[in-house]
Amino acid sequence: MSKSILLVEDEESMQVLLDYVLKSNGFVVSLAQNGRDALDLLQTTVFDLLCTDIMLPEVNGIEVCAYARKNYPHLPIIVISSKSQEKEIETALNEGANDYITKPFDVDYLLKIIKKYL
Amino acid sequence: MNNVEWFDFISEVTDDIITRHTLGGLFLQVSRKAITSFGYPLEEIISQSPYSFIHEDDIAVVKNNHTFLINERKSEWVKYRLKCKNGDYLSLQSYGKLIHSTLDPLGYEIILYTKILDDDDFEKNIGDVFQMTRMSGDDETLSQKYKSQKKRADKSFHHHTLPIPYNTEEEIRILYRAINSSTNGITVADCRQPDMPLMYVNPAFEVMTGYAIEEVVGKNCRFLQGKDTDQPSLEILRRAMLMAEPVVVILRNYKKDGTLFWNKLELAPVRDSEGVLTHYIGIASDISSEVISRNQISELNLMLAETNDQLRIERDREREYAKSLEKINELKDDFVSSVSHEFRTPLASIIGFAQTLLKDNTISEQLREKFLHIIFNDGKRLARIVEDMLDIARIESGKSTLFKETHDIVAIVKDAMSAFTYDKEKNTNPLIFKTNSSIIALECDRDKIIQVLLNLLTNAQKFSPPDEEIIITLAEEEEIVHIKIKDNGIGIHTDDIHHVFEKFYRVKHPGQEIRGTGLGLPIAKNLIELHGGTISVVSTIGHGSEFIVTLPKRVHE
Ligand SMILES: Cc1cc2nc3c(=O)[nH]c(=O)nc-3n(C[C@H](O)[C@H](O)[C@H](O)COP(=O)(O)O)c2cc1C
Repeated sequence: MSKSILLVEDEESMQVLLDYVLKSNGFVVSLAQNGRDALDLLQTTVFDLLCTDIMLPEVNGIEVCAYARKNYPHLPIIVISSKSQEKEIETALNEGANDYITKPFDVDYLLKIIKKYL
Repeated sequence: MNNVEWFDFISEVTDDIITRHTLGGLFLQVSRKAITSFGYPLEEIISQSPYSFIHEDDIAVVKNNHTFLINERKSEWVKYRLKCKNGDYLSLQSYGKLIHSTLDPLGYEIILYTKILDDDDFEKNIGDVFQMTRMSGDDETLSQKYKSQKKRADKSFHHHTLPIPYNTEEEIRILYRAINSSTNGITVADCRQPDMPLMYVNPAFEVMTGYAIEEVVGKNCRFLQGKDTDQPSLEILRRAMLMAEPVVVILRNYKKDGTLFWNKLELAPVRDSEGVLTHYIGIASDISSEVISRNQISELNLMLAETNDQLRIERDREREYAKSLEKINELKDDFVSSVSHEFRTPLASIIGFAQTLLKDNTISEQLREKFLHIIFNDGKRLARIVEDMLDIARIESGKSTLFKETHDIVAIVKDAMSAFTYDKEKNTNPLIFKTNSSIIALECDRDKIIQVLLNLLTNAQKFSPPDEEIIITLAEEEEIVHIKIKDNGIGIHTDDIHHVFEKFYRVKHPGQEIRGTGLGLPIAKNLIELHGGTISVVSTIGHGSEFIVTLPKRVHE
């Protein structure tokens, strides 16, 4: 059975890119445009992996991480962000992210990381 | 006024060449006339030794006069030639004086007044200009005194350091001899031990007070005050020591035999190479013979208090300055991180799509086209960010110019609105335009006004929830027009509102981050001001903001 991924991303071009890349590699992708939608989706649907940006309107990616980690301890979380400072990476990892990828990224590398957690 | 301010003032009003130097001669400040006469830009003079500009045949005579000046506190007139930026030599005549350094009450600096001579004048007199009159004392102590003062002066721009890194045993021996033969009482106390005990006093101190060195080493110097520990000037001293600042006070002190003497005490903190306070050095002079009445003493102390206040103000100002530098650095860091962030998102999209297009040949023609469009748009977005940064750079260097013609501002606002809605495909905020006029003639640079309006619209949209209206109002008076852009967004906090037009300033919102380079509003403000107009903002948290642009219909040149 295909693995399902929750993708949280507010930037349109990134949505299109990640949606295409993940789908063409056999994943089922659900898209949340912002943090609040992500929390709603997490409550109603079971996912195999969460992929989130940090800078999001309303509820930010760190809060999404923290919520997901608390309620779904085994859900792998990968943060994809253009924030590249160590402080941000550290915060994300502390709040429950399993891995952190900075934009711009290599598509193959991203896929490799995702597959490692599934 | 401190020396720097005073000099700035003089430099502005005088048409003479006046220069400020360290004791060693390094240029600290120069008047405008010096710059124009010598031809060097400021940065090629400040902190340089004048000797690197002086004709080599004249160096000896200038050095002589320099030493004389250090010893006598003022110089003779000295003639010499100085090499200008264009390679020509200028014939000069200088006269110098020592003045107290504002930063360091123990230190001095040099002020030079310089005249330009015409060449004939110079030739006639060269060689016979300078007769050195020596102070009593042998050559060695004189030059040694100069040397130690010079070292002190060089240090005074950082902090006093003890022990002074003298190179040879010989030098240390001579320094020791100089301290021992000084007629001022010199004391050194150790701050790292409880109650700051004296670790050294010189023979003059012994003579002045009647106490022998063995009796006082290890004790705090307050024994000189006897029971008289309630003097107002001690308050000043204590306060300065608390702040580790240099201070000068006049104290009532008592010799070993109980006789009163007036002690003018100069205290300076001594720091190690890391800047940690380790010692105090005190220079005590018995000024009883100069002192006649208590009244005069209190007057003197008042004057000293003023000096000390000035020292403190100077220091506070320096600290303030350091703080504002820190703040600027913080803003820069923020800017760099936000700019790099702004670059990363479109780059990620461009690289990601290009990689996908290269590798994946199963992509449908339709998708291919879509991906290419995204690459194209994100490339344009990157270009816009670069454009913003260049705009700011142009503004900063004053190279931003306007191409003004008479335009219809109603049409310009409409054009800006359609450019905005066209550019932002996903923009969901309806734009509402309100005006009573059908046409208003306005002298302006159309592209620049559109840029301002786009910046303001982008800003309004960034801080508004989707689907909330943005209202643009255009109204005219006899001489001016007002353009108001109002959103129903989150509003700007009062702490931030004064800063929104500062470049690099980005309003922080808890739990929510808004993208941008922090340059849109500063650019807008600058462009409006170039048009002779103003821009302002009113805002209520939770209810939105309104930016108000006021432009004169006709620009007065
Ligand atoms: C190096 C040094 C030299 C000092 N010389 C004198 C001095 O000559 N006469 C004097 O009355 N106080 C002198 N003092 C000040 C006293 O030692 C002491 O600091 C002052 O009385 C204030 O401190 P207190 O309130 O603990 O007494 C000197 C202090 C230092 C550190």
